[in-house]
Amino acid sequence: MTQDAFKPTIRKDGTLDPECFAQAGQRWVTEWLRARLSGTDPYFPIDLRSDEDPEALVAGILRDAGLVHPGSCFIARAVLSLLERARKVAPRVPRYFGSLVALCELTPLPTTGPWFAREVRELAADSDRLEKRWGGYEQAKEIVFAAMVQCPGLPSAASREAWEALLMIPRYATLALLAVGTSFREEARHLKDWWHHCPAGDRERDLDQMIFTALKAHAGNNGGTSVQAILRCMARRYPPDLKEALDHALVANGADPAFEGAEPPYEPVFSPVAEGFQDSIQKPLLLNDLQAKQNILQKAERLVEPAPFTVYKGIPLQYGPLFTAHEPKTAQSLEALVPKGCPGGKA
Amino acid sequence: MRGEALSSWPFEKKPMPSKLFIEALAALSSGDAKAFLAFGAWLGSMAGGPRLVGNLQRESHLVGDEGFGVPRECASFLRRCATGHAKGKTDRQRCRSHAAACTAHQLRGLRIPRPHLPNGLLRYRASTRTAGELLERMLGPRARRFLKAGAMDTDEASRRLASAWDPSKLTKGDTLGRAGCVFATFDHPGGAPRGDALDMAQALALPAASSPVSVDEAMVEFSYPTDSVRNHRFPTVADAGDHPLFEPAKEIPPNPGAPETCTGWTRPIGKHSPQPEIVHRNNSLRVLDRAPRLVGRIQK
Repeated sequence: MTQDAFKPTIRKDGTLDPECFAQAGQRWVTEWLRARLSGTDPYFPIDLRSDEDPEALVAGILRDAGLVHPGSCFIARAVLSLLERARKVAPRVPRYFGSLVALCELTPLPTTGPWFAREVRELAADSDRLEKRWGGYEQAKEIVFAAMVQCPGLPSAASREAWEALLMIPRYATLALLAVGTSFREEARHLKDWWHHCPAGDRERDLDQMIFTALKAHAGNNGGTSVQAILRCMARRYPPDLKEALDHALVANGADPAFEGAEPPYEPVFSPVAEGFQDSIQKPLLLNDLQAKQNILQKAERLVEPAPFTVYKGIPLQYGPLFTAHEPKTAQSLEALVPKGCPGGKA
Repeated sequence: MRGEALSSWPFEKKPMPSKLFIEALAALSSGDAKAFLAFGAWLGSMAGGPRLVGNLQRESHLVGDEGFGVPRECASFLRRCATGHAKGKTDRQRCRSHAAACTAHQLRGLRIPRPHLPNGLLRYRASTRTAGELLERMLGPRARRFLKAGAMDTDEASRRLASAWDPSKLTKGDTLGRAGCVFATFDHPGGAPRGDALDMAQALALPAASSPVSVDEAMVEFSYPTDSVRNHRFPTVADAGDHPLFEPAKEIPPNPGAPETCTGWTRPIGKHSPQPEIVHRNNSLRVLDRAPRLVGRIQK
């Protein structure tokens, strides 16, 4: 890190030009990042007075430059290199590691997904071993927070299975729920498992915070009703104490309860298509066969493992376009199949 | 050249050296004085170097446990900076030795008698990490995740944090600051824009207010009794480390009749009025007299 190796380039408007990182080269960027995240940066001094987070400036650079900028690519590769370095020296935790993981929690990077996915897999397989490797639960938990950003548990993600397994480990249950719950609907699907495994002392607090954020997120979309409707879709899966706790959290957050006083059946009739059914369903849908479509929907109704999904004019969202594209009138006629008061049904 | 990154900051062109600095420099041996000049030249080449050098020259309260104007502690600091620099071969080593010198002389500014201070202190941390950790501790991991993702309004988060605040949930690591020395301010007749995170960051001359990259940082306010922390002192260049936005106190002996002489003062960025500034020893967040307040997000 000699004086000539790097010159921060400031544009006329006072902003930093990320090109200077691209020009400095990979090796320099890696060493700069390591030093900065360890608390020393001669180029962009770290303010001790206000406890400046060393990672905040790096997140700002990435935000301004965009992840495809060559300077950002150097930084992303440097992050991966430092993560690898930390894994090699574990359980000794390098000084930079806390800020490095905090950076990964702030901004998704193109290079780090596999590293974090591996950590989540190993944690799900043997949490004690992984915690021991990183020096304890606190450090492992920080890695999981970052993993939520770097390898979220999207339904199609390779890490999904590991996240779902993590849901069964009490001290990680809420973190795993956050990772797989890419929407409130998704979270509601996993709520029963979470409820079963989450430490009893944390349940009420976490459920309250979940309902609070769900009501906020759905505020522009008939908030309470929407949240309640999603929860009602799951009623058959939820144990009574979970329903009671959900109602309590809803009321505590100023909304109406979802279950108390509601008369069963208050859940939609349609269930997602079980594995293996997809081909047999799509074929008649494409053939535009009304009777076949109705049969399919009736079969779906009888599936014992309901899960949340959106109903569009009486048809599960994933098949809605097929219906409407081939026979819009059929879609209208199927509306009657949806029970009164359910999403997509008549008011 | 490294000053380019901070070119928009107000640099000292011709700082007037303090009497303390001159006497401390005079107390060095000729070898140490020569090494100190080399250190000064190097420091001047750092980011914000001219102001760092200017601050060093204007330092007037680094007296340790002695009285106002006694140069022994300051001379010791200059000597340590000089010898550490002479031993370093690379910039990184020199940065480290400067940081080590600063750490060794932290909380060595002139003591502030307790009667010179009000009963309550305030501390501001521009740190999303800190805000997230507090939310996690009191409201659970979801609150932290949503705050960091920018999906949680800071006012709402602050209200929920206040209603859930339970000091018994704090851990040993939950402290007023990360280091042993903590900067603090307090309410004063000149006022402060405490309702706006960016304005407050400017009034306190925090780097987030003049960063060359976009900023999105949560600011947290801690309020605590003055008596709950120890070792109240004037802040010095050693406490501020290598950050050039710090402003040393003017070389005027403290006079209770003139409160502006009894503490350090910030040099704000922009139009805001200066804020009083002191340092004291770190302590647990259990000393807070109310729940931490999320002032808002510093966004620019």
